[in-house]
Amino acid sequence: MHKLLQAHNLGRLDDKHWRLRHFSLTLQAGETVGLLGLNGAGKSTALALLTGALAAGEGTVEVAGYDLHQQGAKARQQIGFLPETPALYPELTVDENLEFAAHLYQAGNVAQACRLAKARCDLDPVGSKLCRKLSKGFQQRVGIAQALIHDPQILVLDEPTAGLDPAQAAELRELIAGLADDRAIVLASHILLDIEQLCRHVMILHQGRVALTRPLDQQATHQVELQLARPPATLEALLQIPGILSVQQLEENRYLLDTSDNANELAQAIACRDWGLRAYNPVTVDLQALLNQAIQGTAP
Amino acid sequence: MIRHIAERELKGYFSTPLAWVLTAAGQLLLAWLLFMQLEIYLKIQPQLVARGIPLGIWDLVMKPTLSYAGLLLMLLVPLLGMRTFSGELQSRRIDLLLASPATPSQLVIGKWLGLVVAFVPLIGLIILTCATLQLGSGVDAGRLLTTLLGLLLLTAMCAALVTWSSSLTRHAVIAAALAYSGLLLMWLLDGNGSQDSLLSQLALSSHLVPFFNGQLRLFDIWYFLALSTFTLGLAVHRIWRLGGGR
Repeated sequence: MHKLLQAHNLGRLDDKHWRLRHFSLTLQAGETVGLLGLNGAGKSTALALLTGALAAGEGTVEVAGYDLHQQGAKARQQIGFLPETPALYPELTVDENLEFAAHLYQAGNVAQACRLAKARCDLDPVGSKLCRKLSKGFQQRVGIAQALIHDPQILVLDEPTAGLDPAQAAELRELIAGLADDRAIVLASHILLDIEQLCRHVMILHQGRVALTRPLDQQATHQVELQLARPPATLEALLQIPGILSVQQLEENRYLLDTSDNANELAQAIACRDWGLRAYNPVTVDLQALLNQAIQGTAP
Repeated sequence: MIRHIAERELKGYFSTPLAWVLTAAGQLLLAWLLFMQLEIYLKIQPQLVARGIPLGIWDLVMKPTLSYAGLLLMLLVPLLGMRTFSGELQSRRIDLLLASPATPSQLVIGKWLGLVVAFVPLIGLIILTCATLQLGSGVDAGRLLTTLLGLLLLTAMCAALVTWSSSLTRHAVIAAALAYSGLLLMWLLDGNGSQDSLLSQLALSSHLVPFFNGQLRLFDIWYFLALSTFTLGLAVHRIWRLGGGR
């Protein structure tokens, strides 16, 4: 599949301190990656380097085939960016803010681009309202509409649900999920629910470095909890099944498998044996535990 | 791109009361000063005629009023323009601007142009007020045109200075204070040294007053253009640095 975003070995040194180092990322259409980390971990720096808001001290970024440094204007046109605080002019209306963003990102037909972005983000009823009079949730929506105004292939969202009440956050997550089908999305957040619900991969940043990269969907978890009524005499029998990398016995009839294969095929292979398969549960990723492990340097 | 950035700046200025209040207050103040000068002139005119002193309405009414207009612009331009970039830095909108396809020079020139155009109505009103004197006296149209050019160049220079100072800090008041300090220094330079000294050559008023006299000197035009270009260049460099030297 066509690679939309390729960042290789990005780094940024400021005042003899690496704000971010050795950051690499490859994204295709339909993929969403979440950057997770504590405050100051380097999430916003990573987004700034990916969008070109900040020049990288080292490394390269290629956006839809354009080098961000060499072909800056063309590369930037492929990216929609929602900064941590939506870049709105409070004294202007929603329509005026969107119009300016359309001109700034050189959207071809400005009127049509504004109409589409408003429709996509359910902003039609507030088009003529001043941005300073909107709720925080609607302001975030306007920010996303700005990011979508030129129909970019890549969306970069910095803390999209920060400061929203649970209902607003849920609405916004729904909106973002709807945008992910034909785009690549990079999302930075310290809200675990955002990452869990929206992302297929997570990158945990700590002290300016990538501490952990991990797929999030259950199919790709690579760990399965297994319960058998008539377990084999030795663990070796389990290890002989293709796709099982290691086995850890939790209790008498319960096992934790590290797998490299498709979970459904593996379940069928185990069910074929006369071991009385009682439970086959792919282990869901506990993001909080992963984050703690990554910060403490004990992540697998 | 520059036009759209300038248009947004203009919309921003005139969607708050500040620009309207400054324009109206500036015009009211200058109209009042003009009538004060006119009243004095009408009182002393018979004596001037009797003594054969060749000073007319331009010298005794227009020139002092236009000097006030110059001072007023030096006060108002930094006041309106102090948030040009500091507002973007304060609200972090600068992140989106830097991530956009717009280059630092387009951002700076667009914002500067918007600020200059915001003062065109006030400058137009000043010139119109002066032109009304033509009804009762022989005000020279050429002098009006050179005055218009002088005020526009002064505004462009003040706007460039405050555009630069506002790119240095997120605090609008500090940006305005920096711009006022620079302008005050240039205004005070005139009081020191002889006419030919370097400091005097750099003084602002010695390059502004000839425009009010109807004189169009290349060196005066060059002075304002050079200062504007230099400070805009500094602002572009500052924005370029903010983007990490992209």
